[in-house]
Amino acid sequence: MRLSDSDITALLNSTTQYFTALGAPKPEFGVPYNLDNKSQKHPLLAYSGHIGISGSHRGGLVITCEKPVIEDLVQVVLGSAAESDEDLIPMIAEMANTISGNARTHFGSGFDISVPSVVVGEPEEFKFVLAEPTLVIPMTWKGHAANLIIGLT
Amino acid sequence: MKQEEIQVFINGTISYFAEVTGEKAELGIPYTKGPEQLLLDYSGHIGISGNRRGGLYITCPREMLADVTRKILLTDEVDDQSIFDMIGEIANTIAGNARTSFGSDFNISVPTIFKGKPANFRIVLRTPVVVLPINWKGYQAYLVVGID
Repeated sequence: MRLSDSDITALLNSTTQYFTALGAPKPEFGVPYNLDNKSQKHPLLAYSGHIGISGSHRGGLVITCEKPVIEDLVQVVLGSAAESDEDLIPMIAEMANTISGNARTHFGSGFDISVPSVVVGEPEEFKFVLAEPTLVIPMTWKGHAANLIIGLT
Repeated sequence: MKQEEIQVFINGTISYFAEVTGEKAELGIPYTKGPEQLLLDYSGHIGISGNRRGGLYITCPREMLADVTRKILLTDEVDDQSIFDMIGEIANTIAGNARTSFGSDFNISVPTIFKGKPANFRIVLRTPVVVLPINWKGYQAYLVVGID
Protein backbone atom coordinates (compact mmCIF):
# COMPACT_ATOMS: atom_id res chain seq x y z
CA MET A 1 0.00 0.00 0.00
CA ARG A 2 1.42 3.35 -1.04
CA LEU A 3 1.09 5.82 1.80
CA SER A 4 -0.62 9.11 0.98
CA ASP A 5 0.79 12.53 1.77
CA SER A 6 -1.57 12.81 4.73
CA ASP A 7 -0.39 9.38 6.01
CA ILE A 8 3.22 10.56 5.84
CA THR A 9 2.39 13.86 7.53
CA ALA A 10 0.64 11.90 10.29
CA LEU A 11 3.75 9.76 10.81
CA LEU A 12 5.97 12.85 10.96
CA ASN A 13 3.62 14.43 13.49
CA SER A 14 3.43 11.22 15.53
CA THR A 15 7.22 11.15 15.75
CA THR A 16 7.56 14.84 16.56
CA GLN A 17 4.89 14.47 19.23
CA TYR A 18 6.93 11.75 20.92
CA PHE A 19 9.90 14.07 21.39
CA THR A 20 7.94 17.20 22.30
CA ALA A 21 5.90 15.32 24.90
CA LEU A 22 9.19 14.59 26.67
CA GLY A 23 10.20 18.25 26.49
CA ALA A 24 13.00 17.25 24.12
CA PRO A 25 13.99 19.08 20.92
CA LYS A 26 12.11 18.17 17.73
CA PRO A 27 13.82 15.89 15.22
CA GLU A 28 14.73 17.19 11.78
CA PHE A 29 13.28 15.07 8.99
CA GLY A 30 14.93 14.23 5.70
CA VAL A 31 13.07 13.46 2.50
CA PRO A 32 11.00 10.26 2.84
CA TYR A 33 11.66 7.65 0.18
CA ASN A 34 10.30 4.29 -0.91
CA LEU A 35 12.83 1.56 -0.45
CA ASP A 36 13.69 -0.56 -3.45
CA ASN A 37 13.66 -3.91 -1.68
CA LYS A 38 15.62 -5.55 -4.48
CA SER A 39 18.59 -3.22 -4.47
CA GLN A 40 18.54 -1.33 -1.19
CA LYS A 41 19.19 -2.60 2.29
CA HIS A 42 16.80 -1.56 5.04
CA PRO A 43 18.58 1.18 6.97
CA LEU A 44 18.65 -0.36 10.44
CA LEU A 45 20.90 1.33 12.99
CA ALA A 46 22.14 0.22 16.42
CA TYR A 47 18.77 -0.10 18.22
CA SER A 48 15.45 -0.80 16.53
CA GLY A 49 11.96 -1.05 17.97
CA HIS A 50 9.51 -3.00 15.80
CA ILE A 51 5.72 -2.93 16.01
CA GLY A 52 3.63 -5.46 14.10
CA ILE A 53 0.46 -3.97 12.66
CA SER A 54 -2.76 -5.88 12.04
CA GLY A 55 -6.48 -5.19 11.85
CA SER A 56 -7.41 -2.48 9.32
CA HIS A 57 -3.85 -2.53 7.95
CA ARG A 58 -1.19 -5.24 8.01
CA GLY A 59 2.52 -4.68 8.15
CA GLY A 60 5.06 -3.22 10.47
CA LEU A 61 6.69 -0.08 11.74
CA VAL A 62 10.28 0.25 12.90
CA ILE A 63 12.00 3.13 14.61
CA THR A 64 15.74 2.64 14.41
CA CYS A 65 18.32 4.91 16.05
CA GLU A 66 22.00 5.39 16.62
CA LYS A 67 23.00 4.59 20.17
CA PRO A 68 23.49 8.23 21.31
CA VAL A 69 19.84 8.99 20.51
CA ILE A 70 18.66 6.33 22.93
CA GLU A 71 21.28 7.23 25.53
CA ASP A 72 20.18 10.87 25.43
CA LEU A 73 16.52 9.92 25.69
CA VAL A 74 17.25 7.79 28.76
CA GLN A 75 18.96 10.83 30.25
CA VAL A 76 15.92 13.02 29.46
CA VAL A 77 13.35 10.55 30.80
CA LEU A 78 15.16 9.02 33.77
CA GLY A 79 17.43 11.93 34.62
CA SER A 80 20.42 9.62 34.80
CA ALA A 81 22.80 8.00 32.33
CA ALA A 82 22.06 4.58 30.86
CA GLU A 83 24.31 1.98 32.38
CA SER A 84 23.66 -0.94 30.05
CA ASP A 85 21.49 -2.35 27.27
CA GLU A 86 18.91 -3.11 29.92
CA ASP A 87 18.29 0.65 30.19
CA LEU A 88 18.37 1.25 26.44
CA ILE A 89 16.11 -1.61 25.28
CA PRO A 90 12.96 -0.45 27.13
CA MET A 91 13.52 3.07 25.80
CA ILE A 92 13.53 2.08 22.11
CA ALA A 93 10.55 -0.21 22.76
CA GLU A 94 8.62 2.60 24.39
CA MET A 95 9.52 4.94 21.55
CA ALA A 96 8.16 2.50 18.94
CA ASN A 97 5.04 1.92 21.00
CA THR A 98 4.32 5.61 21.51
CA ILE A 99 4.90 6.62 17.88
CA SER A 100 2.65 3.77 16.69
CA GLY A 101 0.04 4.66 19.27
CA ASN A 102 0.12 8.29 18.17
CA ALA A 103 -0.34 7.12 14.56
CA ARG A 104 -3.59 5.35 15.50
CA THR A 105 -5.30 8.71 15.81
CA HIS A 106 -4.76 9.09 12.06
CA PHE A 107 -5.08 5.50 10.83
CA GLY A 108 -8.07 4.71 13.07
CA SER A 109 -8.90 2.45 15.98
CA GLY A 110 -8.78 -0.62 13.72
CA PHE A 111 -5.03 -0.01 13.36
CA ASP A 112 -3.99 -2.71 15.86
CA ILE A 113 -0.46 -2.57 17.16
CA SER A 114 1.47 -5.39 18.77
CA VAL A 115 3.73 -4.92 21.74
CA PRO A 116 7.19 -3.84 20.61
CA SER A 117 9.97 -6.23 19.74
CA VAL A 118 13.46 -4.85 19.95
CA VAL A 119 16.32 -5.63 17.62
CA VAL A 120 19.79 -4.80 18.84
CA GLY A 121 22.44 -4.54 16.14
CA GLU A 122 22.27 -4.72 12.40
CA PRO A 123 21.37 -7.97 10.65
CA GLU A 124 22.74 -8.67 7.18
CA GLU A 125 19.28 -8.18 5.67
CA PHE A 126 15.86 -7.24 6.92
CA LYS A 127 12.51 -6.82 5.21
CA PHE A 128 8.75 -6.75 5.67
CA VAL A 129 7.08 -9.46 3.63
CA LEU A 130 4.12 -8.48 1.46
CA ALA A 131 4.16 -4.94 2.74
CA GLU A 132 5.57 -2.99 -0.15
CA PRO A 133 6.42 -0.34 -0.91
CA THR A 134 8.34 0.23 2.29
CA LEU A 135 8.68 3.88 3.23
CA VAL A 136 11.75 5.24 4.99
CA ILE A 137 11.60 8.58 6.81
CA PRO A 138 15.16 9.63 7.70
CA MET A 139 15.69 12.01 10.59
CA THR A 140 18.36 13.49 12.78
CA TRP A 141 18.00 14.33 16.43
CA LYS A 142 20.69 16.36 18.16
CA GLY A 143 23.00 15.49 15.28
CA HIS A 144 22.43 11.75 15.45
CA ALA A 145 20.69 9.61 12.84
CA ALA A 146 17.45 7.71 13.11
CA ASN A 147 14.97 6.27 10.62
CA LEU A 148 11.28 5.54 10.76
CA ILE A 149 10.48 2.59 8.46
CA ILE A 150 6.93 1.57 7.67
CA GLY A 151 5.41 -1.02 5.36
CA LEU A 152 1.65 -1.58 5.16
CA THR A 153 -0.71 -3.66 3.06
CA MET B 1 1.77 -18.66 28.75
CA LYS B 2 -0.06 -21.66 30.12
CA GLN B 3 1.09 -25.18 29.34
CA GLU B 4 -1.88 -25.80 27.03
CA GLU B 5 -1.06 -22.60 25.13
CA ILE B 6 2.50 -23.75 24.60
CA GLN B 7 1.02 -27.01 23.32
CA VAL B 8 -0.87 -25.02 20.66
CA PHE B 9 2.42 -23.86 19.18
CA ILE B 10 3.95 -27.32 19.48
CA ASN B 11 1.01 -28.89 17.64
CA GLY B 12 0.95 -26.13 15.04
CA THR B 13 4.65 -26.59 14.30
CA ILE B 14 4.39 -30.36 14.06
CA SER B 15 1.41 -30.17 11.72
CA TYR B 16 3.09 -27.50 9.56
CA PHE B 17 6.08 -29.69 8.76
CA ALA B 18 3.98 -32.87 8.41
CA GLU B 19 1.49 -31.29 6.03
CA VAL B 20 3.86 -29.17 3.99
CA THR B 21 6.87 -31.46 3.73
CA GLY B 22 5.42 -34.89 4.50
CA GLU B 23 8.04 -35.35 7.22
CA LYS B 24 7.24 -34.78 10.86
CA ALA B 25 9.21 -32.47 13.07
CA GLU B 26 10.10 -33.45 16.61
CA LEU B 27 9.95 -30.83 19.31
CA GLY B 28 12.25 -30.80 22.30
CA ILE B 29 11.36 -29.73 25.81
CA PRO B 30 10.31 -26.06 25.90
CA TYR B 31 12.34 -23.77 28.12
CA THR B 32 12.36 -20.15 29.18
CA LYS B 33 14.81 -18.11 27.18
CA GLY B 34 17.58 -16.25 28.96
CA PRO B 35 19.47 -13.22 27.68
CA GLU B 36 21.59 -15.26 25.25
CA GLN B 37 21.40 -14.74 21.50
CA LEU B 38 19.24 -17.38 19.85
CA LEU B 39 19.49 -16.80 16.14
CA LEU B 40 20.39 -19.05 13.25
CA ASP B 41 20.87 -18.03 9.62
CA TYR B 42 17.34 -16.73 8.89
CA SER B 43 14.59 -15.59 11.27
CA GLY B 44 10.94 -14.77 10.55
CA HIS B 45 9.12 -12.61 13.10
CA ILE B 46 5.37 -12.02 13.54
CA GLY B 47 3.87 -9.32 15.76
CA ILE B 48 0.69 -10.27 17.61
CA SER B 49 -2.12 -7.98 18.75
CA GLY B 50 -5.80 -8.21 19.61
CA ASN B 51 -6.77 -10.63 22.37
CA ARG B 52 -3.08 -11.43 23.03
CA ARG B 53 -0.10 -9.16 22.57
CA GLY B 54 3.51 -9.92 21.81
CA GLY B 55 5.35 -11.71 19.08
CA LEU B 56 7.08 -14.84 17.94
CA TYR B 57 9.92 -15.75 15.65
CA ILE B 58 11.19 -18.90 14.06
CA THR B 59 14.89 -19.17 13.33
CA CYS B 60 16.40 -21.81 11.04
CA PRO B 61 19.68 -22.79 9.41
CA ARG B 62 19.91 -22.03 5.68
CA GLU B 63 20.22 -25.67 4.68
CA MET B 64 17.01 -26.58 6.45
CA LEU B 65 15.14 -23.83 4.62
CA ALA B 66 16.67 -24.93 1.34
CA ASP B 67 15.49 -28.48 2.02
CA VAL B 68 11.94 -27.33 2.87
CA THR B 69 11.88 -25.10 -0.21
CA ARG B 70 13.01 -27.96 -2.46
CA LYS B 71 10.18 -30.13 -1.12
CA ILE B 72 7.55 -27.45 -1.63
CA LEU B 73 8.67 -26.13 -5.00
CA LEU B 74 9.70 -29.59 -6.29
CA THR B 75 12.95 -28.24 -7.63
CA ASP B 76 16.62 -28.75 -6.95
CA GLU B 77 17.44 -25.12 -7.69
CA VAL B 78 16.83 -22.92 -4.67
CA ASP B 79 17.95 -19.29 -4.63
CA ASP B 80 18.42 -16.89 -1.74
CA GLN B 81 15.17 -15.07 -2.46
CA SER B 82 13.15 -18.30 -2.18
CA ILE B 83 14.80 -19.06 1.13
CA PHE B 84 14.15 -15.53 2.35
CA ASP B 85 10.47 -15.91 1.46
CA MET B 86 10.25 -19.39 2.98
CA ILE B 87 11.17 -18.31 6.51
CA GLY B 88 8.42 -15.68 6.36
CA GLU B 89 5.94 -18.25 5.11
CA ILE B 90 6.77 -20.68 7.92
CA ALA B 91 6.38 -17.96 10.58
CA ASN B 92 3.14 -16.80 9.02
CA THR B 93 1.64 -20.29 8.81
CA ILE B 94 2.57 -21.30 12.36
CA ALA B 95 1.16 -18.04 13.74
CA GLY B 96 -1.92 -18.45 11.54
CA ASN B 97 -2.47 -22.01 12.78
CA ALA B 98 -2.42 -20.70 16.35
CA ARG B 99 -5.43 -18.51 15.53
CA THR B 100 -7.62 -21.62 15.39
CA SER B 101 -7.00 -22.05 19.13
CA PHE B 102 -6.54 -18.44 20.29
CA GLY B 103 -9.51 -17.18 18.27
CA SER B 104 -10.13 -14.80 15.42
CA ASP B 105 -9.11 -11.82 17.58
CA PHE B 106 -5.59 -13.22 17.69
CA ASN B 107 -4.30 -10.77 15.09
CA ILE B 108 -1.03 -11.43 13.33
CA SER B 109 1.09 -8.96 11.40
CA VAL B 110 2.82 -9.72 8.13
CA PRO B 111 6.18 -11.41 8.68
CA THR B 112 9.37 -9.47 9.18
CA ILE B 113 12.48 -11.33 8.09
CA PHE B 114 16.00 -11.06 9.38
CA LYS B 115 19.03 -12.63 7.80
CA GLY B 116 22.22 -13.18 9.70
CA LYS B 117 23.38 -13.38 13.26
CA PRO B 118 26.02 -10.74 13.87
CA ALA B 119 27.42 -11.01 17.38
CA ASN B 120 25.57 -7.98 18.69
CA PHE B 121 22.26 -8.76 16.98
CA ARG B 122 19.26 -10.05 18.93
CA ILE B 123 15.46 -9.94 18.82
CA VAL B 124 14.00 -9.02 22.20
CA LEU B 125 10.40 -10.20 22.77
CA ARG B 126 7.85 -9.79 25.55
CA THR B 127 9.00 -11.78 28.59
CA PRO B 128 8.83 -14.52 29.66
CA VAL B 129 9.97 -15.86 26.32
CA VAL B 130 9.47 -19.57 25.66
CA VAL B 131 11.79 -21.48 23.33
CA LEU B 132 10.55 -24.56 21.49
CA PRO B 133 13.45 -26.54 19.99
CA ILE B 134 12.52 -28.06 16.63
CA ASN B 135 14.27 -31.00 15.04
CA TRP B 136 13.36 -31.69 11.41
CA LYS B 137 15.38 -34.22 9.44
CA GLY B 138 18.32 -33.67 11.75
CA TYR B 139 18.27 -29.89 11.38
CA GLN B 140 17.94 -27.85 14.57
CA ALA B 141 15.66 -24.82 14.54
CA TYR B 142 13.81 -22.83 17.21
CA LEU B 143 10.37 -21.33 17.62
CA VAL B 144 10.60 -18.47 20.11
CA VAL B 145 7.34 -17.10 21.55
CA GLY B 146 6.78 -14.13 23.85
CA ILE B 147 3.11 -13.16 24.34
CA ASP B 148 1.12 -11.78 27.26
